[in-house]
Amino acid sequence: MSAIAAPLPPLIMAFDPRPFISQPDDAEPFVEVNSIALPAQGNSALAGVVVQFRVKPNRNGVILKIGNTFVGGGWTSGTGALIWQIFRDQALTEAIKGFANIKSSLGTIAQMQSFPPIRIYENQVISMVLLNVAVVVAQQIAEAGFIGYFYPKNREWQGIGV
Amino acid sequence: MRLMNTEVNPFVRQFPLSEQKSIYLLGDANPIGLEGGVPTWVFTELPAVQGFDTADTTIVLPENFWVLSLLGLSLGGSAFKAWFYDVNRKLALMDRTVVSGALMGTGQSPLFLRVPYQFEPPEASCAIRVVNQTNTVNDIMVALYGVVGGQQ
Repeated sequence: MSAIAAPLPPLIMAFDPRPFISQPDDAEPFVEVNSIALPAQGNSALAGVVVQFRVKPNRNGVILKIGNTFVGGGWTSGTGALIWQIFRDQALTEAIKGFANIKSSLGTIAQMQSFPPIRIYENQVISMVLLNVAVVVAQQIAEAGFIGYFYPKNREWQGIGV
Repeated sequence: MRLMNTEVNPFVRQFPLSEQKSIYLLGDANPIGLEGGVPTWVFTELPAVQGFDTADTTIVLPENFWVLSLLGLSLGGSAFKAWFYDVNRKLALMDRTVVSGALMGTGQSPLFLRVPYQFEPPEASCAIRVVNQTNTVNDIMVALYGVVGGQQ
C-alpha cells in the first residue's frame, strides 16, 4: 500500500478580476513613442500631434505610463510657453481628465512616469498634442510616448465604474 | 404556383394613434406602476468647465425617485459628453463618456427612456461626469426628469 500524499493547500492567487487592474494573459502590450519638430508658435490650430494611436476594435485597454519631453533650448518648465494635452477622440475635443493643460514634462521617454491605469476604449484615438504658445522655434524636438496594454473587450469587468 | 405573404400584422391598430401615448408600453400613457407620482426635476450645473476639460459631480436624488428622461444643455450651445454612474449600485450606465446628443435631450426636445430607471436606494445618488468639447470655458447643465412616488 503506497502512502497517499497530503493534499496541497489551496492555491491563492493574487489576482484582481478587473482587467484594467491585473493584466489578463491575453492582453496585448503596447509602446507608442514618437517625436516631432517643435510646431510653430500659434493657437490650437497649429498644434502638433506628437504621438497618436487608435485602440483596436474589440479591445479596451489602459495607459500605465506617460512621457512627454522637450529637447533643445528656449523653454522653461511650468511657464505655459508649451502646453501638452492628451485627447481620447479623433476630433481632439475630449481631453483625458487631468491632462487638458500640461505645462511641464511628466516624464522622459527613457523614464516614463507611472500613473494609475487610465482606461481607454475601443476605437478611441489617443493623441498627445503640443501647443507652442511662446517658444521661438530653433530646431527643438518634442517627444512623447505611452505604455500600456489592450485586452479583449469581453474581458471587461461588469458592474463597476470607470 | 406563387406563394404570397397575406398574413395580417397582429399588432395593427393596437397602438394608440398618438405617438406621445405610446412612449412606454403599448399605449400606456403612464410609466407602469408610477401612476400618481409627482413630476420632479433634479438639476445640477457645472458652471465653469475649462476647455476640453472634464468635471465630475454627484447629485443626491429624492427618495423613491424614478428617472424618466435625461436632459442636458451647455450654455455655449456646443456638444459635450456625459457619463452617468449609479453610486450605490456601483454601476456605470455607460462604459465611457457619451456625446450629449446621443444620450440626452433638451427641455424642448426631450428624450424619454423606454424603461424608467431607479437609482438604487436608500439615499440614491448619481455621479455625473461631463466633458467640455470646446476650447473655451463652458457652463454645462444636466437635469434628470422623473417621478417621485407613484404606486409601488
